[in-house]
Amino acid sequence: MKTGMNDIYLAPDKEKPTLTINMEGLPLITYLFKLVDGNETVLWTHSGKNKKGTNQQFPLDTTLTVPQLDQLILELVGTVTSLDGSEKPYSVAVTITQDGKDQRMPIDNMPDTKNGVANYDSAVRLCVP
Amino acid sequence: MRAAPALLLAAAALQANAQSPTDLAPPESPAFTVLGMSPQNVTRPSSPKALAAALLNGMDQSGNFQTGFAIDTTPYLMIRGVKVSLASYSEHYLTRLLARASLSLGTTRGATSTDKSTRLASGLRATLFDLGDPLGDAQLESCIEAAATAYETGFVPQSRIDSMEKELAARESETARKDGESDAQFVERQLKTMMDRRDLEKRKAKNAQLATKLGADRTKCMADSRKRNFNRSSMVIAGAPAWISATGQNADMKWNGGGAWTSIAYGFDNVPALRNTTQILFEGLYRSRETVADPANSGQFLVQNRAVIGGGVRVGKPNFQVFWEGTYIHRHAAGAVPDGTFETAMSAEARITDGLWLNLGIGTESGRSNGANKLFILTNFKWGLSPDRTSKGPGN
Repeated sequence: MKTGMNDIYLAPDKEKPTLTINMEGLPLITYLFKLVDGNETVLWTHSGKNKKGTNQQFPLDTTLTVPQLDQLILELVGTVTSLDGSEKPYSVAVTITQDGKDQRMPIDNMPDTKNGVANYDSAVRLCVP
Repeated sequence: MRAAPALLLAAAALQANAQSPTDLAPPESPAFTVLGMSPQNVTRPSSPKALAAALLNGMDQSGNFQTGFAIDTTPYLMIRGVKVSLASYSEHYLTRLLARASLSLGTTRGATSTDKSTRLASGLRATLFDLGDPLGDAQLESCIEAAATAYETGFVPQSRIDSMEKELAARESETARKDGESDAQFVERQLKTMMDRRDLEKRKAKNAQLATKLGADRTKCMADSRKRNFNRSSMVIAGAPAWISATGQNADMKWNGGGAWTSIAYGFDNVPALRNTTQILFEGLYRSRETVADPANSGQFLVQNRAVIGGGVRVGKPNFQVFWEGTYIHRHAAGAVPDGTFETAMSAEARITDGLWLNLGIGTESGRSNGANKLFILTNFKWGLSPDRTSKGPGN
């Protein structure tokens, strides 16, 4: 089914994918990743904050199967807050890596971080290559 | 007052910092301090703004009318910019020291016939510690995280909403019965479409509510942080060389010594009754080869060394504070006997709007050996804003 969302291709028989969040500068970013299936059942979540800036990594820690990958959606909702009221622009980038191959998870809703605060969100469909 | 620059600065501050919730008064410019043109002898040792400016008007300690302008920046943050992360800032003292070091450039000009001089100073100021630095405020961080968690848990990404909307719209357009579909199946399908529409509208409404609540929660976090941090304990050291043109002509500009000082504040951090209202401050300053208007000989200048030691108490709230200080100033002019005076001063500082502050100080001295004690009045407009980071982050 064509969802209108961007597609990320993963292979169930390969190594577990790794999510990497990149962020530059002094703001505090928070994030919540959620893996949901076609029935809106939440299979996996990972939340946290990124203060280190670049290369905060963690595995997409779930077992993926081919039938699952036909209907899995990876959601991301997060915030950017500059604690000292710093001005724009700040942004967040997410990549999904499997077997050394990077795929960028587009941030669909990354508004202008003027005044140092912004909310961002994204959703991608996970597919078999 | 040079009204045009003041209005331009005010407009810039309003535009650039319109919602900056951790808007605390920028500290006194080191350039004004070494030129003896701060409304206070005892300066506040808080962390600097990434960019700040001050306009000054008033009568100095020699009784001469002065106008001045100063601009302060934090060069490390300007240069390193987005390469400094919150983690490295909070974990590494050297990063904080560099990030909070400010560079100042200021000039004042005498506006009377007895003092037409132009003075220039560039100062470097290092914040050794500042318990009120919002970037180190763990409570602020926790507050924002809690607000973000509530938002993130319930919010559905817009692209999912769009996808659901598209899929639902396609189903809603199927108003005719499909081949082989019974009446019951048709009704059931239509009913499910209606229920899904209702659920989707609920999700959209909830998204809007969550975004609004996040904004309100985050603003409250910042406001609470300002209340906690405006008068915390801190310490700075600073130094500044100075130049003077006694005639006011650029061609006559020459070196005019310099100054070094330290300022320490105690914010009663562990005293609940005082920690959100009161701060006591101490300062020691030495200024060498300072050229000042000779109060005994109109139009003449003398060169002196000046040492200042003093203390004060600041009381108020984040947006309005009053400050009393008492200082002893030892002056030793070339060819003259050393002179010591006591100064007391009162000042008030009010936040006019986001980023823009007005500081008014009035003081008097006593104990001059020649009896020529002076009254001095200084007003100081200050504005400060955080940097407009023009470099793009990794997502752009």
